[in-house]
Amino acid sequence: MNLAPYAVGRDGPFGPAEAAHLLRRAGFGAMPTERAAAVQAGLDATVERLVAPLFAAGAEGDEAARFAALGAGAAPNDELPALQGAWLGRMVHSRAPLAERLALFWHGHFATSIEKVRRGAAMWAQYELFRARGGGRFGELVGAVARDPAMVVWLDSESNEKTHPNENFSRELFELFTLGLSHYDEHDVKEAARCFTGWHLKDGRFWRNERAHDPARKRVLGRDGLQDGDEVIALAVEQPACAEFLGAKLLREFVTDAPSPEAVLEAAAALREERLELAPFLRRLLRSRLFFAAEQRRARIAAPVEWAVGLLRRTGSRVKWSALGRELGEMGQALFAPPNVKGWDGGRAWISSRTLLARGRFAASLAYGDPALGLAVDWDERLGAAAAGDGATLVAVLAERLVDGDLAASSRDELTAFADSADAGRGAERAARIAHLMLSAPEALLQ
Amino acid sequence: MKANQALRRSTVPAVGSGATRREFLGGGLSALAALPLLPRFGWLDAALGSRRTDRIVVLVDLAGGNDGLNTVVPHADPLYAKARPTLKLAAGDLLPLSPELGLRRELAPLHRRFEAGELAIVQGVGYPRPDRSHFKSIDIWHTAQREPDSAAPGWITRLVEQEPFAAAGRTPLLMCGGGSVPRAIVGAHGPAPQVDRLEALAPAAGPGEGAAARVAALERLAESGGTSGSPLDFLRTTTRAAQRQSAQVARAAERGSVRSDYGRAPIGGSLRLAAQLIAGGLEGNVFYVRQDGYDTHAFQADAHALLLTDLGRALGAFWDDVVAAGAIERVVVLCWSEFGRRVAENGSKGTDHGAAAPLFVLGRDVRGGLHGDAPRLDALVDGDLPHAIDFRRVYAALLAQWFGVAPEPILGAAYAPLPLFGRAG
Repeated sequence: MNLAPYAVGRDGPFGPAEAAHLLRRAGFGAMPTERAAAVQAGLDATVERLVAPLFAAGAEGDEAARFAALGAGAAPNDELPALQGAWLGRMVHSRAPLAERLALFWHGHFATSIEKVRRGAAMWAQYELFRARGGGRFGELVGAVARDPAMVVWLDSESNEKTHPNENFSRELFELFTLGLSHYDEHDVKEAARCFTGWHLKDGRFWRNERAHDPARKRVLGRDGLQDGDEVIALAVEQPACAEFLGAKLLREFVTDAPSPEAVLEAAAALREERLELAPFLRRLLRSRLFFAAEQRRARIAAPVEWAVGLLRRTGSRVKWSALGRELGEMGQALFAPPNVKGWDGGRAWISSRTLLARGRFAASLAYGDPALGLAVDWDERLGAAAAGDGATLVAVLAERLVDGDLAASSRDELTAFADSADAGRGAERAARIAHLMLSAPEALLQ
Repeated sequence: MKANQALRRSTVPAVGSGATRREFLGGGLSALAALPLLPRFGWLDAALGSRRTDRIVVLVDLAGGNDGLNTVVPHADPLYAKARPTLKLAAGDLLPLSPELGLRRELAPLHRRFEAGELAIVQGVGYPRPDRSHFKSIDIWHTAQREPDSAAPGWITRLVEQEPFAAAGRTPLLMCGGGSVPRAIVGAHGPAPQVDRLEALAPAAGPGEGAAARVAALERLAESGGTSGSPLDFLRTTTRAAQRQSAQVARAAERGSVRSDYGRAPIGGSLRLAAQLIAGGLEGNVFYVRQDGYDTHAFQADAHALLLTDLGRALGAFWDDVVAAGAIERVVVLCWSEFGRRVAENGSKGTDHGAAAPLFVLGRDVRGGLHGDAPRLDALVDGDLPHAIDFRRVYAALLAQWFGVAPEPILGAAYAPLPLFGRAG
């Protein structure tokens, strides 16, 4: 019953805390005013507003166009910073944050890196594919990704030929994209690779090179007679293991780092009912009992991109977009350059001493301002009279804005005492110091 | 009693473990199998004496699956040239290890150590039922479990989380270099610290007076509390550890200096950091570094040569700096990859995922030379080289002979240590 609808009233309220949870997980977090508006609109309308853009991808406002131009117009020698900045800019300004969130999920799922692809335009086109079709049928998305030029380069499909099949794509198709380990064997990898022979590029576009294709009938995943890659994809996607694999991964992305086996089975069943179409599945997931269960709140470690984008949205800080991607790399999530084809492990793997220190530096840069990153927050303007209030007032107002009011009691006490001490300084400087310390509290990394 | 004498008694059968009797008989240890069986515990502590907290291992992870066959090359075998029509290397491309085997010229700094008897090349290393998934195979190597469950800790963390390695004020395990945190260094209490740039070690305190007060507040905010094992508890524990250990690392870095040329590749930067911290007297035992890029499915020749050049230069520079620091007697290097590559090259002038491969152990106290048998290209299994030596026998040797601890509790089963350390004995 994990995925049964959360009944407002019987199962609990849909108040500011629930709205904040929903907007953190399905977007990048919200200002207090947005939270209040969501409560006013109610759970159904809020989920609908988040999910609707997934059914009509591309219906995005001017901001998206602005940042698309930034991505496409990047100079060759600084392609990666420009690409990263363009996507991050979209995330911060998007009115369809779930579409960006889902694109980020797919980027981690079909993890492709510019380090090998070398063509920024192809990387950007792959991201646009995730964003435009991420809410659609999974099988269609896999088919599109298998033809995506960046992927073709990334997993060596270009050199997959009848005379010498290259297994790189077919192996990852089963292991990382559709089924997971132990649902296929080496024979399947080899035979599937033959099915994808000739899936090449010509002038940078997908091209079926019939001369390189092996038209023989192959046996894959226990079925005889397969000829072409599309048949392999269709067969993989209809395996029971696929819905479970994908369901578990979506639960980890949106609900919990450690989904229970029952929850995975339910998610798989729901995915099958929706014929592996993501948008309706997410609509169910985001208004489920499991999603709103108390133990899921603030129980997931925010990915660096989610965390930093959320802070930029919450503070309205100016930022030098092309400098931002590198900072996120230090935190462990360089967009367009995942560590390997498995993507980012996520969860606790986000955390090391190195990445924690990098997050601390970003928190300080945001709070105090940083010319190199173009960061600047006018705390006086943001906080008004509260900036000069007593410690408890300042901490409460900042907490509402930065962490949806969620602070451990011990942290609240510590910050209040600090704000009331001589060490805090005065005015905007004091507000910046409290903001810095607050964002450096361990719980501020939880989502 | 000397370490290798203890080793000679270590023919304990692996009850219920992944190791088979055949593995104990491999690697030139067959005579030992005739020795009487001994009790599983007790003898080790008595035999090995004290735990060597002064000693260091640098773990060098060649990520992606290094092509072992084109690293330690059986150039004299006609089957080799046949399997590698475009990638084959001739004797002239190689530095001699034996009449049949040559080491890549790019690894000349390692070859010098081989000639000095300070490099062990262990051949045919792998594990039963080889898995060709990078990620599964990495998990297997990093946990030392054939079927690791999701909670299995990094094998080396089970060494450094025990006393006296884990004593207060020490940094027993440290990753040098950027990138994701490998499973090998994630223990029961979270990940070991990681450093890639020394200038990034100081906590961000912000501008203006009173930085010390803010740093103190940052530390108090991370004081533990909350439900044990919860995400918040995890974050607090790791934050606090990061604060403490970063300070220890920064102090060691200030004291230590290096001067060799490590090249510009990331592996050079990582090994330079390790050398500097060793020179600076960091109280630690395990440094983990990683070199990415060995997944050479296509157009392997140039990429592989470049990787090995970077590796050879970095290891040579590291060796020189550690010698200059007077620490070389305390340091060994273990260099491995999650699998080798398919014997036959593919149609893309590359190689696909394979199985067994050679690994390197480097150090003054190492019993240099070739260990195990050269790969037999006429006895492939599914196109791959089968393993003759379980990698956990190398781990066991490191634990027993180098660190003086009983391997079995750490590895979860008894693996006969290979005779790799204790040169004098």
